[in-house]
Amino acid sequence: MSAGGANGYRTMFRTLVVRILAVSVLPLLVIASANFVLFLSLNRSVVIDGHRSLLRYHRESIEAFLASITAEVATLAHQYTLAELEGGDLERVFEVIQRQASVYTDVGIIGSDGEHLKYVGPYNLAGRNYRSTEWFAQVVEKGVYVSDVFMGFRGVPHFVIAVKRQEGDGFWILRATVNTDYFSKLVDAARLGRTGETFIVNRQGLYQTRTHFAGNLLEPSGYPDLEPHDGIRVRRLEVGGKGYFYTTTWLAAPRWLLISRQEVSDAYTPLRRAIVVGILMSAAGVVGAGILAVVVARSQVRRIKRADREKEALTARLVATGKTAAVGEMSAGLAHEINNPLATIDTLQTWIRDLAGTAPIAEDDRAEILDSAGKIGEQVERCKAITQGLLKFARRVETRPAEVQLNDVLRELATILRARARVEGVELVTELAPLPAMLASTTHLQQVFVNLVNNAVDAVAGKPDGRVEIRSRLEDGTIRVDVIDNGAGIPPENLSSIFLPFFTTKPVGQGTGLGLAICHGLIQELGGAIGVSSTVGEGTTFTVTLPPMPAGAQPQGGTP
Amino acid sequence: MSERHRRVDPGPTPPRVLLVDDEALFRETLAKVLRARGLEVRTAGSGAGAFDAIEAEPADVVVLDLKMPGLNGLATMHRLREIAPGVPVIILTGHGTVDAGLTALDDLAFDFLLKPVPPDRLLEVILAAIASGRTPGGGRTKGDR
Repeated sequence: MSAGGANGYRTMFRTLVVRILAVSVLPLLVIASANFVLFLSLNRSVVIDGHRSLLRYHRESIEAFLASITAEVATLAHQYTLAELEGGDLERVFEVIQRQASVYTDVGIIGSDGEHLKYVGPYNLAGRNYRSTEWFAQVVEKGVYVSDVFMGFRGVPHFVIAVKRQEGDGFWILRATVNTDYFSKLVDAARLGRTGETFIVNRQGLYQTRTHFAGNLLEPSGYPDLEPHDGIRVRRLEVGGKGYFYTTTWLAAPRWLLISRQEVSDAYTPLRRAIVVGILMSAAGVVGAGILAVVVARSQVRRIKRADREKEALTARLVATGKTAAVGEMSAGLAHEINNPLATIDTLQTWIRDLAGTAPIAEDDRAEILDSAGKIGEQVERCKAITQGLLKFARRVETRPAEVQLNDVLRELATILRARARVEGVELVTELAPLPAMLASTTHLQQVFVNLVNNAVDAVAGKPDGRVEIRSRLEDGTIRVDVIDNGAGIPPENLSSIFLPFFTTKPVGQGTGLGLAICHGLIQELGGAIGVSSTVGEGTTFTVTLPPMPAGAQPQGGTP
Repeated sequence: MSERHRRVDPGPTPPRVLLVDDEALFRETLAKVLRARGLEVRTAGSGAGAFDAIEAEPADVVVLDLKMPGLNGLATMHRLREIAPGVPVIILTGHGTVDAGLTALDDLAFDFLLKPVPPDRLLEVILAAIASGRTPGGGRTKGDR
């Protein structure tokens, strides 16, 4: 593969990856962003709706609670006479109303003149006069009164429920102080998230219940919208550099503002989490698509590479076949033209030796002449080997096909060639698996495999652990023979040329360069193929594949 | 290659060889070499020359080139069959395609030799051809390969 080809495959790989990513990731991203936008808008309204409905239910429960404790105090006030309560029943009443929860801090009876007639509770308030307090005025006027939170004589923030009881000509007042902590907890029971809290401010905006973060009891809340309104309002406010959702609703009685607030960022935490999860899933999708793209592209490129290689090999074979045919024709003519002068030269040198054998000349000269003429004869033999090679290559040598057991041919030639291999210090081994018969000329088969094995022996000759293996087996219905050597291997640049005529790497005079070209031609005639794989430094394997004899086929003609 | 070449036992009559080849240097040198080995050798440079020679005096064997100007070797061989039936013909040619060789053998050539052939090898084939020609029924017939 040339460098340009490798670059081509790299570009192809990149293009494939980009395309696969485009078709898989783009839709993913479009769907993800659409979901994101939809989710964002939905979630904003979900957050706000959540706050609204929570506060609606919470307001109802707080109103119910206030109504119930007011009713309870009123009922007590009307169940007992002043005398009974003063006489000791107030303690019992306090026990009764406290039996379930510490809703109340204390309870007391105030006379019409504001005197604290009786008190049950932790503070020392007996004997105080409430005539001048706001709540006293209100309860005297309204009969039932729930106060805002105030400090009072005890110096602790609290609010009271007071009920006026007419008895005889006068009246007295039953007053219960609501446990601020209990009420604060009740109010704050509706919490959202990490920063959410619910509390109450009065019409002046002072905190009526304890808060976690917003402020202390009776401190001004600074909440800007203190005009009573119907229903529930949600607004976003910046407080102390942070954004808050304020959800507000007014209680029916007393007119307190129930506020639930939460940091905006906290309110959006589930949303953010969902977004993070969404992004992670999208990222995982993108990564997965990326991996898929690389895997698919790689396998595609590999497939294309293989197809290209096969095509190249096929083209090379076609080119080789074309060259083989052209060179074949040429070489036949060449051989003929050379054979004639060779015959003359050979005959002349024979005649020279004949004459030298008997001529009356010095013995030294006779020896010289005989030796020189003999060398001419040797050179003629060398030329003859080449011309006969050319003629064989031209495929005019014909023998007739017969039913042959290839393993017999291989075994026989291995026996013969083993002698030569041993001289070269090469181990020649065979590993022959059972094969079906084939239709071929034994001579051709011998020619092919003698050539391959001789080449292999040449490749390892003189190597200390030189080894040549002949392996045959049936593979996918095709006969396959490997001739394997552990020699120096063939450099890649030579691999494509080795089946071409006159290609040789042997020293001048030692090879005609026709052996493999002849093998190639013969194998093709047999309907087979010959291939080579080689690693420099490790060795070379020539692989011959041949078709077995078709079932029912009869060899043509007799044996030659 | 042995230095002392083989000589034919002269006997009563030395074997008579007609050597037909258009290349004079080859033809005449080979004739000298074969004569030195005890054969009686005449030469001809063409098919026509061969017919003349064999009509003038019979031969025991004909060594024939295939590619010659005028009448080629195969045509010459056919004509020789008529003029001198039973005389074995050895084809000695540089144009040794096997097709040509097979055709020649089909046409009853005794053997087909591809140039260059060492003269001593040729001598053996010549002697074998003469021996077959002298043996009754030893001549080859078509299809007997």
